[in-house]
Amino acid sequence: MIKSNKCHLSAMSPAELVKHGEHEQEWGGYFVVKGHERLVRMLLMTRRNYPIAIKRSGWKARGSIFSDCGISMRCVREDQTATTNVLHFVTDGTAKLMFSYKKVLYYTPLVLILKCLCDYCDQFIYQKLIQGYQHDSYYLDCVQNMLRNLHIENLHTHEDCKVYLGKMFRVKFYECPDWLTDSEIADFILKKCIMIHLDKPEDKFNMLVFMCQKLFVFVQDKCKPEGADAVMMQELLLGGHLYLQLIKERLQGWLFGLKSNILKRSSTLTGHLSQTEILQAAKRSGGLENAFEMFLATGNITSSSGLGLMQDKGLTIVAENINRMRYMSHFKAVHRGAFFQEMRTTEVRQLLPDAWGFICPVHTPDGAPCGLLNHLTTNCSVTDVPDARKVENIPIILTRLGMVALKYVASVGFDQNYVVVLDGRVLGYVRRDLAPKLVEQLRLCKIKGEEVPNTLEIVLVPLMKVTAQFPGLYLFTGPARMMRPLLNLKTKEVEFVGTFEQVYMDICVSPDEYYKGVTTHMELSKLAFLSNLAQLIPMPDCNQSPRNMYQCQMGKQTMGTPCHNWRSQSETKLYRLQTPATPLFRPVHYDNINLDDFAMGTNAIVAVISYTGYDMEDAMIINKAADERGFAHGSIYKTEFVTLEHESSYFCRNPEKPELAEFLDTDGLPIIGRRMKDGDPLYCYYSVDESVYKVTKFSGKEECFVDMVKLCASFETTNRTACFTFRVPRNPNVGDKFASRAGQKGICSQKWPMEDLPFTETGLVPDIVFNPHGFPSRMTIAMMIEVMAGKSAALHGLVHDATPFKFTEEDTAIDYFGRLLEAGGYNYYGTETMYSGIDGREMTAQIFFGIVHYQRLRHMVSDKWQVRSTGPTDILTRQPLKGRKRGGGVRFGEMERDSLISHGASFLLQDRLFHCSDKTTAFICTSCGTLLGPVTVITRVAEKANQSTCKETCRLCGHGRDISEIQIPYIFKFFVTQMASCNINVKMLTQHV
Amino acid sequence: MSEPSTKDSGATKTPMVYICGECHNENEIRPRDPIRCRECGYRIMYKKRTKRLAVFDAR
Amino acid sequence: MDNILNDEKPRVILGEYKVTQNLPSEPTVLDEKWDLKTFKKRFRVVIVRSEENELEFDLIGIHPFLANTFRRLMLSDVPTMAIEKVHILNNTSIIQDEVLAHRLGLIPLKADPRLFEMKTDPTAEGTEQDTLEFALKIKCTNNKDSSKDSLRAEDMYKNNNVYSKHIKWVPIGKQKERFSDVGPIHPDILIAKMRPGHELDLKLLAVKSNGRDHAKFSPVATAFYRLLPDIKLLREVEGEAAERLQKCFSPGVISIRHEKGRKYAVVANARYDTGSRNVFRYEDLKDAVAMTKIQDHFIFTVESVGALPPDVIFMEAVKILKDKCLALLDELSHV
Repeated sequence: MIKSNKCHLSAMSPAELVKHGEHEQEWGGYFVVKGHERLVRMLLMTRRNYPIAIKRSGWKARGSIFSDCGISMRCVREDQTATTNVLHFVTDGTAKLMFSYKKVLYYTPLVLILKCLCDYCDQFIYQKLIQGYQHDSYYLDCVQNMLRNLHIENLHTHEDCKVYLGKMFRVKFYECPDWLTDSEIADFILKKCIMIHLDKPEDKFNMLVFMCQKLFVFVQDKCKPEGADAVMMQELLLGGHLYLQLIKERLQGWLFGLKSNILKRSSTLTGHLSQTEILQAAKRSGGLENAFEMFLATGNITSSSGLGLMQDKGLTIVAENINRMRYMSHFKAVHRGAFFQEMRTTEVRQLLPDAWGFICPVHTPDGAPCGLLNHLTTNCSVTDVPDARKVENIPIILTRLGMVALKYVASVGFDQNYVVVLDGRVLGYVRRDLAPKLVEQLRLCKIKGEEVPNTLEIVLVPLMKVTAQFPGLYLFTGPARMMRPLLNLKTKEVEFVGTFEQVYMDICVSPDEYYKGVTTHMELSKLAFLSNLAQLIPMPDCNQSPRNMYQCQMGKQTMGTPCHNWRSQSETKLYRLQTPATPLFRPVHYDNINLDDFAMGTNAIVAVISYTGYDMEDAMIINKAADERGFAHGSIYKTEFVTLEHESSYFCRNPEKPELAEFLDTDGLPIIGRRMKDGDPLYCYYSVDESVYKVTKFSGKEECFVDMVKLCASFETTNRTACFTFRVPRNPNVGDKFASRAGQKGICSQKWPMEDLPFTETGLVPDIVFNPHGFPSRMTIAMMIEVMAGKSAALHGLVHDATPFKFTEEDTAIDYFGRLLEAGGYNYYGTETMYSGIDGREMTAQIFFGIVHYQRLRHMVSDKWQVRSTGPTDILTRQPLKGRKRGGGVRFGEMERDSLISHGASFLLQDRLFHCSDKTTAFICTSCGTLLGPVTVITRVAEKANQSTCKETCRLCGHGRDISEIQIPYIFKFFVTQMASCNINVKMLTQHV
Repeated sequence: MSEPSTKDSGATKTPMVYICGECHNENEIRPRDPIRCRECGYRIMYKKRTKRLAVFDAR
Repeated sequence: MDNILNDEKPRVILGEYKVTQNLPSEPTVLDEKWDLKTFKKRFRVVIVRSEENELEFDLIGIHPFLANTFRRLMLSDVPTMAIEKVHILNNTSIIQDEVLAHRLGLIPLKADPRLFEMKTDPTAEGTEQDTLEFALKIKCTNNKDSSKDSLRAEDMYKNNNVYSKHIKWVPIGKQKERFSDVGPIHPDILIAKMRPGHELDLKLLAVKSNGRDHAKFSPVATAFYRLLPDIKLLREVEGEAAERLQKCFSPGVISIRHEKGRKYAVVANARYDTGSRNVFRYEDLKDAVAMTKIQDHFIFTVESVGALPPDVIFMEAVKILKDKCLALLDELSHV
């Protein structure tokens, strides 16, 4: 991984990085696999070590009388091994515990597991289970019933249960050697599959008891389901954790391989194995590198246990570098999981209130991944593994602050207590009236961060009068949780707050929202809930909300400056804007992240006017003179690699072909700076396999220039590799896409001559003509403000702050910029008098006129145009193929057909659907009306060898008197044939016209 | 744009100048030579631009 | 209001929400029928300001179509010389070939286009009548004389910045005798930045063409006109309101007169008002002013790029119009 402590770049200063051809801002965190920057995607997972009450209809199908209620817990060990246990409620009033092994799910009665865990008597278990619920007669009944059920099965003691468990599961746990007793197998199951985050059986026992109590409260609707889709119940799967898991599993696989190898050896050998033989066996068991390269290159994992993941594909992604925005957004993207992408329900896609401050509400794509692919906010951080010493302190501190540890608990009245759970381990109980005080004290310790980790999440779920979440005091210290900084108003210090914790805290955004005695925390900034990209939108608070989402998408498609080390890049495609400019109206965040280093977009003079008709329907007109002076000029860098097929083949120009000298140098590689056309020789090499010189032609629809040629040798192959970089000039063209930073995209429909465009009193001619109809329905007020702000910025030589929430209803942005414009001698509202460039008269309407930062999007006609008169057809249907690459056509579909019918354009309709498609000539027998009857009989005329006569006859009628030729779509003939195969004859009534 | 055709027999022996990607040293590399900088051993070599006429429209 | 404005000039009255025409009873140039005699009688040209590259003049008593025609001709039909072809022999700088060529094309050239001919065949070899040749040959090197301490690029390297002054004119044929001073107008246009080892070796060919062909041939930075504003106060504005009124217009439009301890606004010079219409923002002032524009009075501003003086550009435009009209008449007579 780049910039990991094993990477040679890790400790370099920015200056050294530049010296090594890297960016000074290089942040690393990704892998380079076959020239692609790939990173392991962050996934949203269920929060670890917390029993969640879930209602899931799918659970009913897990067993015969299972209910949809259950308490699910994702148990994660310190080494990140994860497995899920679910305590199901069975409708006969019992609880069954689900555990999984090698992706197979198993269900066992809860009491069986409880009895297996600890050698407690039934009375003790009963007391434990009903602690605090003595008045719940239904629950008491159920518990007694469950305890009784086990005795019916003739399982009475701790040992009985273990033997039974081991016996039942022995076959499924075939890795366990035969010599293990049933009881030992039961121990193995309890260790590896049940509550694996806890080591001590007593802890496991207590946690299961807690889950059981929660389950029966939940089943009786005394607490609400929590649901795994809420952010408070989620944490992240980090790349490193996944990587560690994978290493662990691969090593285990390797050990198993080694074991079988050694066993195989020793079976043929008598006596001891020598050291060399052990080493050989180890060598034969294979390595790990390939598996990891495979994982990083494809994002697929092959795992026997499934690693507790819902998906095994798409775990890594390419960090595309189209521009800086695209690049940086990859590193803060979190996905809900590919599994949910196919789900019909929209529940998982919803933005829930607890996501505030952690997941950006603006930055999510529209379409298939909407709501599933999210982005973390700028301030959101992910916790690391805490200091173990500090974690150990927590129980001690809790006891000091008033918690009663579990072992002394028999004496307290349970009705008045909250359970205290730390990382999925029940520690004890705390009196309800003492709990808020305890939390407050603990929070102070947390902020100090000396005795307890400052990433501690303290969640006090209070008992409410209404049914709410199951009460208790839950503490989390584990890694991979999302946390964000808030200002603790009591200490005036920054405190990190987690997703679950936040739900039960009182946080104000600004001081005027503060309620005395209630509010405890305040946001560090009003923008804390926005992601990087959303914070780059100018004044998003003035836009209709979907426009901000569109802008987040479009910002990522802008041509700009993706990198500074152009010479050392060999990315397949890089977009470059030639003369980018810094926006005159920009949020502070733009400067905070130094986006000017990777500038994109240009400041354009915009007239909001409906001028020629070429600007309707989101089209826009570019001033031809502005274009000729370099407005939004850009180019694409395309790189391709060529590796010769044989290791002693080499690049060289064929000496026998002097005509190649025009294209290639003597080394057989193209001349740098040469203009390349389709079909020009690209390189020439001597093929050792065939002992000839071979020339490969350049293929590319567009004219381009050879920018760079590199010869690359690698340590993996000795085959010669060349790398060609071409520069494709892409200056603005009719059909190219542009967008302002308010989700207002448009296609350039004309390059309009400057003299024909309108001009202002001061002689300014717009660069871009924007149609005013783009405003009313989109309501992108921010863009209108930008027109004014841009103009006043240019006028006074300023850069204006476009950070949202800076203006209020009383002090509006329009008034601020209006007054600036007024001070500069312009109209307060940003309008100007304009004169028509065509007839020279002044316009009666005042035109809204100013400067807007425009972005050029990477979608260009040159990549998209498609034209076809004739071309390849499908073999089966004989209709034109689709696809630009194959020279296919654009589909003329049903809606287009309807349109032509309604216009009565029958000739055009026939041309499109018939002549230009699958027109064929076929024979038809008019008497029997079938297409399949006519056959051509060839009779040879006896005298002349080559002459023969053809005659059509109908197989059905037996004669050829009524056969005529008709023109039909081939697909119809195909259809008739297919019908015939189903024994259906298609008869056609024909008529001479 | 054309270049006087070089002596054909010697074509395989004519070296081209390549610039090392690491130390920017100019190396002469013949087609069958190993791809490697003689100074620093770096193995990515950039082909050097040679003087050739190319005509561009200034628009 | 009407009587105040009725002074035989065609005007537009700028209202708060609309623009109304106010045509005098007598015929004006704006009428349908164009009459040479009345045009000659009424037409006047007044030169207001003439600087080296900037000219402001008034065309009075002219129809907008004709004024606009001159504007358009100046922008797109008056030819100049500009670099059209760039022969790149070597370019090892970081600026790409086609971008370098484009940049060079936009450099304004000092050469009187009237002394050249348009090149008819763009593929043909340039002659001394239609082409100017330049060379740009420059190499960046380490500056050995510099002190070791300096980290400024200017001290460390030689020729690290390529400016337009580095472009050298290469006369073809007798051009050397015919023209004395040919080259870029501005010596300090930055063309490229280089570092040691970078080299440019270019041959540049300039031809004559007009702005319609490419913006680089346009002789003007801008050429535009506006209508003469006319501002009249309909009632007296006093005190604080007078100061507010003054701020609603461009500087110098409204002046404040002090008389017996009383200050009131008067119109000083309406000519340079930019027409911001900000007066309509004040309820108490909007009825005090009548803003109009005189529709046959055009204030032209011509900013030359430098190849031709602005007055010459205008005269060229007039000549082109004349030629076009003659050509049209010629065509018509052949029908």
